[in-house]
Amino acid sequence: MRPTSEGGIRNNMGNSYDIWLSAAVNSAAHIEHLLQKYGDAEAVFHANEREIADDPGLTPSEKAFLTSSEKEENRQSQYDYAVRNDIRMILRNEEGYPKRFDCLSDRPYGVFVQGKLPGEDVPAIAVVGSRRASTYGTNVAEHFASVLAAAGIVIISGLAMGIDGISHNSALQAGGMTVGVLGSGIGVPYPKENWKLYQAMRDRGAILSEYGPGVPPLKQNFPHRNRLISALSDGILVVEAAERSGTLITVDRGLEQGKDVFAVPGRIGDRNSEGCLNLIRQGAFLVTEPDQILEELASNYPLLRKHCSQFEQLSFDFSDGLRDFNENSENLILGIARDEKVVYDLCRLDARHFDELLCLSGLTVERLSEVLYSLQHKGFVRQAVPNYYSRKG
Amino acid sequence: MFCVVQSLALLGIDALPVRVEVDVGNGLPGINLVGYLSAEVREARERVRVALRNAGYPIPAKKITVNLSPADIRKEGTGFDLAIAIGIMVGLEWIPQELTRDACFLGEIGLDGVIRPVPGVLSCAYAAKEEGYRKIYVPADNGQEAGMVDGIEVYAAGTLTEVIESFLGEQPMEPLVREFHAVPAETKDDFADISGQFLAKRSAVIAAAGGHNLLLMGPPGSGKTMLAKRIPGILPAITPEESIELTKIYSVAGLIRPEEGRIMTRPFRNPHHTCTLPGMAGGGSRLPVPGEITLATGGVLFLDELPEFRRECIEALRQPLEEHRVVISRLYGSFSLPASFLLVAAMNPCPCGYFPDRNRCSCSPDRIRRYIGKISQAIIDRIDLCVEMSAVPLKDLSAKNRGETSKEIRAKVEACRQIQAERYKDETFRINSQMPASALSKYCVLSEAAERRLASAFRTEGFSARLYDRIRRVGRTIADLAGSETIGEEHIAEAVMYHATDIGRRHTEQYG
Repeated sequence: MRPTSEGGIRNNMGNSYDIWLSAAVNSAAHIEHLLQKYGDAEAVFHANEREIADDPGLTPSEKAFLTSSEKEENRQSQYDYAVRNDIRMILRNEEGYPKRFDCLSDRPYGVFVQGKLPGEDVPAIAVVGSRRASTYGTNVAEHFASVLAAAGIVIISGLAMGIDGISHNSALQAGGMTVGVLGSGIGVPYPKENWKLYQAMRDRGAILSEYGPGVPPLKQNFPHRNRLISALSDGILVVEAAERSGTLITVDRGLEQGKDVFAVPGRIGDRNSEGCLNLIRQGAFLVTEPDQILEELASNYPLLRKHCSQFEQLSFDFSDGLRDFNENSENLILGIARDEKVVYDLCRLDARHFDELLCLSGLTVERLSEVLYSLQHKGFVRQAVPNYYSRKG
Repeated sequence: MFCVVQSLALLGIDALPVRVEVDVGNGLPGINLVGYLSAEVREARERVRVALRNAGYPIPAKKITVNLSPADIRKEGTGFDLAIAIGIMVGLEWIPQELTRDACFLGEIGLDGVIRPVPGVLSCAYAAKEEGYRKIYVPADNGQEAGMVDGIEVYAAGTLTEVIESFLGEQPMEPLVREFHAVPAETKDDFADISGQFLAKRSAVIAAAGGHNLLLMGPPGSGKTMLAKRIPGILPAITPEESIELTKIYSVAGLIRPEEGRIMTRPFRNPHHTCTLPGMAGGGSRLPVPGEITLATGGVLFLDELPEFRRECIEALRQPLEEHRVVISRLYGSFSLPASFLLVAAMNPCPCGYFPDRNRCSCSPDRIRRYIGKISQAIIDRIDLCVEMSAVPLKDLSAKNRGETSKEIRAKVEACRQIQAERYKDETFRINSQMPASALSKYCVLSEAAERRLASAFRTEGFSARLYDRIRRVGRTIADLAGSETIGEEHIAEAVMYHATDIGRRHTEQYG
């Protein structure tokens, strides 16, 4: 007996059997194996349980999902979940499936999408880096992601803590387009702290996952996820990475796929710099300004050129602020302006403690706090960590 | 014969006169003690019987009944021994009753007749004076303590024989000669010892000047404890009233050593983070024993490793921080103990302690958030000042920031407190930190520019209304330190810096 009433329903949400299969089996290769054996997802659903259990090509947990006595309920609830949350499943032979995945030998059988994916011909850059970003990394990622996003480049990343989250956030704030590729099932934000960002991405960007609804964040899925991040982008920008970092998997996959790798140098001796410095030694593009990436992309995207010119004023420049002060010629204001210049010059992209600035500037506690407050107010300096100050990226 | 001898019982940190009534009559021989007594008071029967015999006064075979009145208040401790012994002597008509009429007796007796010290003698001596007694007999070791009370003759007795013989006229006792207690020397811990940490030092000055609670965040070895230890030294000099109250508390807790006189320095209490709720707030199985918050009255309660403290202990600080008293309810009633302290807490910025130095710290943002989140919001709302200390020891390069000594700072703090006392003379509060929200609009007038700045900061940073009030209170103190009546932009600019926990929370939320 086959329940055919809605089993064959195909709407723009996708087929419930496909959704179920993508949630039950996480490995693209194993899905491939099953499809070759049984034909389609529906046939896998109805396959003989004995046969599945004896299949040497599947892991025990996959078998458990495939032969679960609750698989009918699972299929229903996953389908309902997808409908309720406006999740589309796009199979690889369907319209809208990212063509950029075609180069992958293990491209996903289908992808789940929330939000709206950008067009295939829009340039994209993956911004990846440490989950434990320093202030320097935070500032750099923010600067690059917001400038690139404002230039119309899609920012791709993994919705993780640290550099990933900052890049997505900055792209959204710059009014740009950004895509998050999950290592967990669609609708499962990981880490939980990024739930707000997840919602914003869903509404104003796009979220993509090859795993069906409810798949928990399993650590073996994250390295596979990275191949999608690199495949979706034209180049990979590494902001901060330790010597052995998950970020480097994305880079390796990107290199296999023939993507450009850009690395922002860090200070030697810093743990979070080692990955980037190694990449540069191995031949990655060393970038210090976003327009260097834009120039590199310009050969493939001629339209980008005209955006390039507008970055001068967005770089770390203080002349704007000083001009304001000069217009106001009162002595007091000039005095503040002078101190502000001194303090601003002492601030770096990396955070400096109040005491350090105090010693270097020679100001009093009262005065320095006033100057820093004013600089923060004007948006030149940020308090990245309490009582630690850095330039705004 | 029936007679009455006076003693005293502790109730919280105050004492209550207790009448020791003794009746000696015919009947089945023995001593009977009544009057709602705890086990240790009842055991006085054996101690007194043996001690009197050893002193050469064996009790004859009479029926002796001793009642401790008021009989409905629970009597605890061993301080009644001396009064019972003397009462029995009077009851046996060996000592004339008139001689003991204007005296109180306090002390524990050993079997050999030695009189041992008891806690709370100072409070008892006060109560005795208040009740109009002329003399008080106390254990020799508690002599100096009782001697702090003027207007009553203190007899410091070493043995029971000594007391009895003085009444029998054989060897009169001399009242205690009060030693003159000079103001104690300044403590060795001076502010000038701290190199660098300018922001933290400044926050400590503000904390002392306005009575604001302070949280120091910083990596291990950045000098959090060192700084906290020096804060009592920059608080205003202790007043005589404060000194007496403090000495009473320490007397009740049994923490005054015989050679010490009145407590003349502000306390610094540094409980370990394994401290229990009764240890922190005060407790004891029956009568209240002062906890750390009471012992820190008038001084500093320093909680190192704040997130490691039990949640219940931290929560217990809420009421005392608002009301400056703690109410302890026990089986025999509720007791209100003073608990007016400056809270200084310290913690690492993250579990490993080295954030934001990413070369040493590998704590995930989530772990950091959970670590900071361990401190309840209720306490954060009551901590006006919070700074992050730098890890690097910095040499002071500018002459403007030369290290001031504790004495110099204290003069500033006292001047600032004077301004506050003047301003709030018609109010129920005395210092900026105690200003209720309703009084803010009256006393915390911001200059127009400051008001604008603060309002814009609130829009962009998303501060809470409570934080708004805290910034204004701190701004008030900063302006007072600068001698300015209106709170200007520069004062607000500085006040905004002292909110590290709020900034930290927001930061981790924003950047995940």
